[in-house]
Amino acid sequence: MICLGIEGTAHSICVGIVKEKNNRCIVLSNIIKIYKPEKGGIHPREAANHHATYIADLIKDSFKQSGVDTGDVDLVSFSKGPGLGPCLRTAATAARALSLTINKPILGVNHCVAHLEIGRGTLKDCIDPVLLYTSGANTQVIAFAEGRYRVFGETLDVGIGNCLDKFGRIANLSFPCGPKIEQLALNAKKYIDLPYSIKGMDIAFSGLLTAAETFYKKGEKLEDICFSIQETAFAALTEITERAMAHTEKKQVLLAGGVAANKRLCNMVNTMAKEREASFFVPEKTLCIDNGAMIAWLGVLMYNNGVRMKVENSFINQRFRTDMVDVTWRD
Amino acid sequence: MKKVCFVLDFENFDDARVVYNSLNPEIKHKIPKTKIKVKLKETVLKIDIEANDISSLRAACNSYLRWINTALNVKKTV
Repeated sequence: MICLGIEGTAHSICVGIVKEKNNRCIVLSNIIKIYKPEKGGIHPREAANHHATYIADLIKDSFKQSGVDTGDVDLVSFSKGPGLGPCLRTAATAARALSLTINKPILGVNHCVAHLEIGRGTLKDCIDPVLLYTSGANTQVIAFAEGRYRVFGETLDVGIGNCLDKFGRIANLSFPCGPKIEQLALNAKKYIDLPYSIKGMDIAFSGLLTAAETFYKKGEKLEDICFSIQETAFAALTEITERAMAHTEKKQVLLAGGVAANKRLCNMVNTMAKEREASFFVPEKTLCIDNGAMIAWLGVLMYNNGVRMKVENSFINQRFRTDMVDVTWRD
Repeated sequence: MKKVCFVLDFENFDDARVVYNSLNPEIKHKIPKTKIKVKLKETVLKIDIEANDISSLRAACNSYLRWINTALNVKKTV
């Protein structure tokens, strides 16, 4: 089965084509186009305009790169949510137009579940992991239990990526700020004590962000603040992931989302996994960040397990929770 | 109440059909403070938009025109 997936939940518009072979995911193409605002954060309308401008060319390029003909595609899937309304609706409209033009079925899928499934589909031996999903808007610890992907812990305010970007804007770093904060942290000389907020299995970053801003305005070295933000926030993320692993008795951990590209976060989670004698997995960067291949792959899994959607019912859902998805493709 | 009407005559019925059906779920899924009616008759798509204020009207117009353009571009690409 071959599926074309369109991802458009936030600042990226992506098209991926995947092929299913022996229950494994083979990525044939995975093209990502990222909207970068001139200043400030993502403006939903501007991001949607960006997506509308590029989506047709991305579909064309994706077919060309994959060597797949339009007639070979069995399914068109799109990111149903969660995400920014104008972006989701633009990606969904493109998916509907493609589905109607090539006369193939359409399926809307959950963005967060797609992040987990692309890891399981492409990484050998990654079978039943706890997912630490760290992106701009989403920060969740997810694991499969009793027919659904359950959220065992999540941010109560901003996502970790947004936290890093917000601090980056205060410190006049350009978007995306995460990689720049990671580089600056390498030259730090000391750790500054920042609020470490874990509430039950959930996590909060706004106190940390306010404290970091205060230290920056007081003239503390930017490198030291960047280092301290990473150490504090990533330690808290690692702690709630370990708690979820202990609770679910799972022996695998998977990292996904844009912040998974951060080497310090990878090291921390990997160390925790080793200490628990668990396996650590992280997909290659283009499958870690928002991408179309993951949307296509989840479409394949759902379609092969009997999930169907009519074009007229292919609505988006800005607040599409991870645990709203009935996971029929797993035992 | 502010109103605007777009009448789009497509090159052929298939273009009009794809655009209309691609747009349809977004019409059911309303934009706040606006009302919209869409009719397809052969190659002509007629869109009536009503809104409480000019800002909402402008936002709705931009959104629907963006989606029409997106659907048409995708169709022409493949």
